[in-house]
Amino acid sequence: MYDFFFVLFPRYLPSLLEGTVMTITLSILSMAASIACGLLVALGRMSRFRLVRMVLNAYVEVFRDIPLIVQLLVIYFSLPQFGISLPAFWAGVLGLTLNLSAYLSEVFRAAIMSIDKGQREAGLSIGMSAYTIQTRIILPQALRIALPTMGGYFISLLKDCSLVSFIAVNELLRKGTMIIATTFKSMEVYMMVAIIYFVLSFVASRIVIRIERKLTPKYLLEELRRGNGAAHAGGR
Amino acid sequence: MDRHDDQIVVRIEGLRKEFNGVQVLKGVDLSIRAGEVAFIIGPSGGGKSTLLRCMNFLETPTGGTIKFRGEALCHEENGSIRIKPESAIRQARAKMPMVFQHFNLFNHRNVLQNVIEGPVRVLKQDREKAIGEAQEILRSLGLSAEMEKYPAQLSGGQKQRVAIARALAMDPEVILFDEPTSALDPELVSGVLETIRVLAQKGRTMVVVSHEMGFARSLADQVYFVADGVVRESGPPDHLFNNPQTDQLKRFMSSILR
Ligand SMILES: Nc1ncnc2c1ncn2[C@@H]1O[C@H](COP(=O)(O)OP(=O)(O)O)[C@@H](O)[C@H]1O
Ligand SMILES: [Mg+2]
Repeated sequence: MYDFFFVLFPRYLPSLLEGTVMTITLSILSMAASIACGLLVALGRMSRFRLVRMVLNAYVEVFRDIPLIVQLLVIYFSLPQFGISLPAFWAGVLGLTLNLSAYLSEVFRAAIMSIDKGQREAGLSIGMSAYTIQTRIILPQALRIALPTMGGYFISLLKDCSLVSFIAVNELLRKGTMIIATTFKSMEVYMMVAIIYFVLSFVASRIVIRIERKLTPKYLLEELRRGNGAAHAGGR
Repeated sequence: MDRHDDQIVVRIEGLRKEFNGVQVLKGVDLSIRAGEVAFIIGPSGGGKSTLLRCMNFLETPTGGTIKFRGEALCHEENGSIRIKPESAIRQARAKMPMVFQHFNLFNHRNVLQNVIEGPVRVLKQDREKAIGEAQEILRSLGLSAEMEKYPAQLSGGQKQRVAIARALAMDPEVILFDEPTSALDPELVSGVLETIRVLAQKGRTMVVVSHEMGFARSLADQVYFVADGVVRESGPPDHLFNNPQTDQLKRFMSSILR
């Protein structure tokens, strides 16, 4: 026990922390990209053009029906056969983003559709353009509704980043595995990796809650307090 | 155009609307003059809301003409309807805003923001100027104390008066009201009616769908009785209410007054 905390941990920590930074970087990049893409996909799926809807529906279906790890392997190992070859890191970001965007687009679509149609009509009735209505009226309300669910997905994402180790990105889990390869201390090192993941998720979920509190306006707090926090679906 | 026609703000001729093959409006004619308060009454499902929503182009007419200030927003050509481009429709809406039964205030904006949203985003007014004018309007409607509140914090009557303020802020030529008091608790109805009465006294042109017959009688210049998708009867309120011509209007009045 003493050895674990005061000898081995300090010895391996710098290397594991490098992996942690990589995990965080992957998560934040993929999350930001997924919010943007997910929103575009959500809007596209409500487009009046049938072809756009069909293509995007197919995209969401495909990426939800294949395990993330398989998607990552395909992007990293199979795409080069077709002349698309990405560095491991960007293959990871791409895979995570394509996957999460599919899920977030569902979240955004549900949130947008939950906005009463009277909101849109009120905008129209005073001469607002469709664009103004979307950006000033619908999306600000929809995003606030989607916020808790988005937070849940971010926590999931932090953990899902461990899958990227399979395509040789030096994130936390892979760093651990590499240490084990030279030291054979699998029991201790996996335990350290687990502890770091726990701390990471724990801190992240506290931060997410704070952001939610900050961004939730007065008019919604009232409703949430009454227990209508139905949006708290969390990860997958 | 004779002198009389100059004063017509909205002229509707042969307006038709169908939903999935069902004719809901079957050729409605009516004209709204400047400064006039027109009431639309009639049984539920008769097409009153659809008529108002067509005027605001929340519904797209399937036939007929709607002229606003002499400009045809839609008309028929070779048997099919032609609608003006989106930008022209938006301009018309800004000058002919609608007040809804269920208020439809922007939930995520406070009262003042609700009122300035149109002037700033649609009329491209300077924000400070818009705020000044919005405060003036809200004050005149007795809402000075509510400016920072969110819709969820208001009573139904206050919400509807904010919705009226939002319409007034557009500096409209006509305001359309679709049953503005139907969603209100009984004790809140009179406040909103009083607000509308004051607007009428100031010479506002308004089209009001309402079941408040006493109110219609005391305020209307013209009353249109709409049933089964057509204007069955129209005229000044005394005339219409004292001498209903059709059985349908007689039955409607007795059902309402009962
Ligand atoms: N969006 C719609 N789709 C299909 N039918 C509609 C729609 N809106 C209204 N209707 C139908 O049109 C008729 C007139 O409705 P409405 O204009 O709301 O009447 P009113 O306001 O006089 O009660 C009703 O039979 C209603 O069911
Ligand atoms: Mg109606």
